[in-house]
Amino acid sequence: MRSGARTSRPAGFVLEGKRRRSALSMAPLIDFTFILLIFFMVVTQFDRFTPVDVSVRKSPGRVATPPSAQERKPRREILHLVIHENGDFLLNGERIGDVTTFAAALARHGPGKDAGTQERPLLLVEPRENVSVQLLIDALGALRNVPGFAVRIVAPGTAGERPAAELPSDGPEPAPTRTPPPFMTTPRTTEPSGGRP
Amino acid sequence: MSDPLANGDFFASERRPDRNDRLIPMINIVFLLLTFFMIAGTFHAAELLDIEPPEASASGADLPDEGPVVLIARDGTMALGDRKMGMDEIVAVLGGKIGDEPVEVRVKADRAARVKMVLPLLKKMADAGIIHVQLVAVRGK
Repeated sequence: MRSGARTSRPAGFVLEGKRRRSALSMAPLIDFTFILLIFFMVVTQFDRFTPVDVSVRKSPGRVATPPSAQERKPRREILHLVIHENGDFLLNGERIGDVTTFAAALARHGPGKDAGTQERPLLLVEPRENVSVQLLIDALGALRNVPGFAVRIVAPGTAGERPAAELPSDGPEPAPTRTPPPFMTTPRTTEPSGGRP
Repeated sequence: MSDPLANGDFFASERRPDRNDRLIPMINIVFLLLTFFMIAGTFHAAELLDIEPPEASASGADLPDEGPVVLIARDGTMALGDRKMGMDEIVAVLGGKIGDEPVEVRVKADRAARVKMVLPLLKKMADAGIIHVQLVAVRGK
């Protein structure tokens, strides 16, 4: 009689007094979880990348035109900032500090935040050949906190040519000047601006 | 009969301890670690060159994902995407992409790379009409 009652239960649902313990092992679950953990630990990166915009404003192909009378009027100030391999910053040939202090010294030469529509001085940044990219990025980061300059980065030894990069700024694009800066060793007839021929 | 809640062995009479019980805290920790890495980390495609980007200020925006990437290693080796190229070849390939839409190029240079390897490339790109350029940096702590 008792065996007959047992056969009437659904298959796989056998309860006899105490609950039967699962025969499943945790070991495969742990193995698989560890594999997943190791995978994520190896391939995951926590670095967040950020862009440093060095877009050049002017596109090539713009035809050079003679400066208008309005453009000729203001005499634009041009400053030459050289970054040395040893970390020294030279403004127009004079040392003004290192990467942590040059910005404050440079700010004294700029028009400041209250310049309004006043034409911004052009700051040519020329890192020496063996300056590291890290130092350049640090310098550009510091220059962002110095208002009032139109910053153009030129390749080493090409201060009289087109810039390799520029720092974006919110102010108006200054009108070109035709006077070479006094510190340039090579006399030029045109400003080293982003204006493309 | 004693009260099982009072002496703390409420489950003692229900089930016998087995060896899996000792593993459960470890599994919990491992699952927590797994969840942390899955949520907090980001995935990036493997790059051809081993590059450690420079560190920039912490206030920068996130880097956009689209656009060609120029890699510049510490020794000056350059690559565009997954191909090693010279400077002129990179400029030629990128210049060929100029169309109606502006080409935005990201330059990922090693922090120890020298300016003489990077700025001439930027200048050549600017001369070729590739004017939208971003240097890739790691957001500072």
